[in-house]
Amino acid sequence: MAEPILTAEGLGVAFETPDGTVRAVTDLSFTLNKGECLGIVGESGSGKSQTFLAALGLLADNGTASGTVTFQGQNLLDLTQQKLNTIRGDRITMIFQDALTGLTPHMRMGDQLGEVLIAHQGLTKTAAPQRVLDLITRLRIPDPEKRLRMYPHELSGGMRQRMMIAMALLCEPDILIADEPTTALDVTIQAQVLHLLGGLKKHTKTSIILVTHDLGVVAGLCDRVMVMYAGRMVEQALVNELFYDPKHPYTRGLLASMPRLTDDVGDKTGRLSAIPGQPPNLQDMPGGCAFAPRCAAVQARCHTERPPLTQRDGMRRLACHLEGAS
Amino acid sequence: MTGDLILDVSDLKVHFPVRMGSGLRPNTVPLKAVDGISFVLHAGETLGIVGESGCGKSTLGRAILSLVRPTSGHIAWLGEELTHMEKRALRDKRKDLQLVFQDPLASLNPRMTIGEIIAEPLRSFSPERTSADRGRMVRDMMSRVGLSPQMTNRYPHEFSGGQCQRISIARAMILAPRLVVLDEPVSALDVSIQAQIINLLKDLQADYGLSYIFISHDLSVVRHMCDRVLIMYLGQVVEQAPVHTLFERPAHPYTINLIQAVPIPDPVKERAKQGPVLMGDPPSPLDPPSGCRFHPRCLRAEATCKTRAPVLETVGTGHEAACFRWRESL
Repeated sequence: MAEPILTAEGLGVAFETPDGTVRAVTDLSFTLNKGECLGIVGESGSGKSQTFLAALGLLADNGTASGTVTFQGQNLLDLTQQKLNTIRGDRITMIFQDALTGLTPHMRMGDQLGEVLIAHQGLTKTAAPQRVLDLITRLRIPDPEKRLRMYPHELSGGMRQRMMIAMALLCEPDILIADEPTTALDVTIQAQVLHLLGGLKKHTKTSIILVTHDLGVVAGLCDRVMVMYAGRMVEQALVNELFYDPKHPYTRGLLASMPRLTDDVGDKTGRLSAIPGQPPNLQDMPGGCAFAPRCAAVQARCHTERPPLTQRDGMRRLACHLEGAS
Repeated sequence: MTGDLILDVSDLKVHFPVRMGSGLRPNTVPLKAVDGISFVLHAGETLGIVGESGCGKSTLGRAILSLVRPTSGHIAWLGEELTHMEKRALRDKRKDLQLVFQDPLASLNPRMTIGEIIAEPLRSFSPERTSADRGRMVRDMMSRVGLSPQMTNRYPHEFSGGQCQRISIARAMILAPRLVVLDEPVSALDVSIQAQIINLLKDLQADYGLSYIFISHDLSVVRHMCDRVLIMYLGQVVEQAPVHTLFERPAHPYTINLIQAVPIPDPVKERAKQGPVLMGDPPSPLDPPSGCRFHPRCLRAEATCKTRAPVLETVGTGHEAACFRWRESL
């Protein structure tokens, strides 16, 4: 029943810097299934964004990608920019944290949304506006006609993000990659955007990749979750398995360090169980497991031997020396 | 549990003139960033100030520290009125009142070593100290906030976001202040680092008997940090309550919506959440809605709410809300 639509194998992303090579992503393999919402969780610098920028050929000039990312039988990493342009914005679309930089400042919203249809679906200049209006109305964006006449700077942050999502959905893509789509938004506006993404998941066949550091957002939307640390996947599981039975000490640490509104974890007098230390410098990675210096359950061999990512029970994959890691 | 009254703010207003329109006679419209706010703070207490972007929470924080001049109202610090105080007298008070910003790297001078950064308040306020004395105090403070004292000669860019926030905290704490305004101190940090900083702030509070004003949009963090919470909407307080009351028995519809909107890191609970999502954006503070400022987004709004502005009324012990229909919440 699970039909893969995007498969990454041995994906690596490296940047050449004056201080040497920085490996942002190392040997990453994963699949995205049709209609699925896959969450990618990790801290700043864990490689979660670079993974998808690499897949879409959007790396900075000093970055190189290795391995394969297969979509519809072709390796995206081998395609020319011209070929990629027929996929990007059409079959695979991406939305970013900062919607203002993703929009053209001097074009009215209606025109820039219409341009997507003209470029990818060959619609005429007269036919495009109606299709745009239909979609905006379907996404329940209030005052659609008025909003489409506006320039990006005239819209609020939440409205811009909704317009970005609308733009990403115009061609009914196979995959929508949402990179921290609600991080810059206020909590009430975040709830509106998450509601929109939730509706999208229910009513369309689009697969969603949700890159975020917010485990609350993941809990509401994702079917499966992948946890990244220092450029590698450390754990992957179905959403319930991950939240109720986390195996990797990093995943556990993350879940435990979150202050919560519910239950008594967040008692005013109590302390949060923080993960000590900081993520490693990607230029100076520790030998063995990258998480070992911060790990509560560290053993001697963790410092010398990097644990391989192995398949565990069910859908779980885990990179930890502790058997079952409990 | 909390001590004496140290800060008493009453009917504080901060209005900024904003030029609207163009031509030879543009008219000036007041942007009412803080519009009639009153509250008190006790020694050792943490007061949370919560609201969406543009609700005036940071302006309120700055006004308390006399970094922006209030348009009207009173700020009594240890019984002394700050709003009309002369500059020199005010400078003297600044020792007791410190501020920590959201963006840790941007609030540190890139050309100063962190030793100099942390020592600077000492140089300004206790010039009589010898440099050896200052150096010792800086090193003690660094180890207190979890920084290795060997790092005094490094520059801010060599540190991660979490460490930069520790430096900012050390700088704020070195004069042994009585009140620290924390303006979104953990919002820019990763989850695992955020927890470290929250723990550090709590430890420092316990050790020094500090009071905090904790400005944040993150309700989960507020619940963990604060004793009492003010909820702001468009420059006004819509609800204020002890932290447990606020989360267990919120009275104002805006508070209820805010709490509802926080994603819960638990798939079953998060997906079982009922209730409508708060629609619309906060209106512009340049042109706030008539009557209750929340009425255009409020599901309970009735005719009165459009014409009359509700005032804060007592709805429980230490619990106030500005809503005509608060009884329906409790």
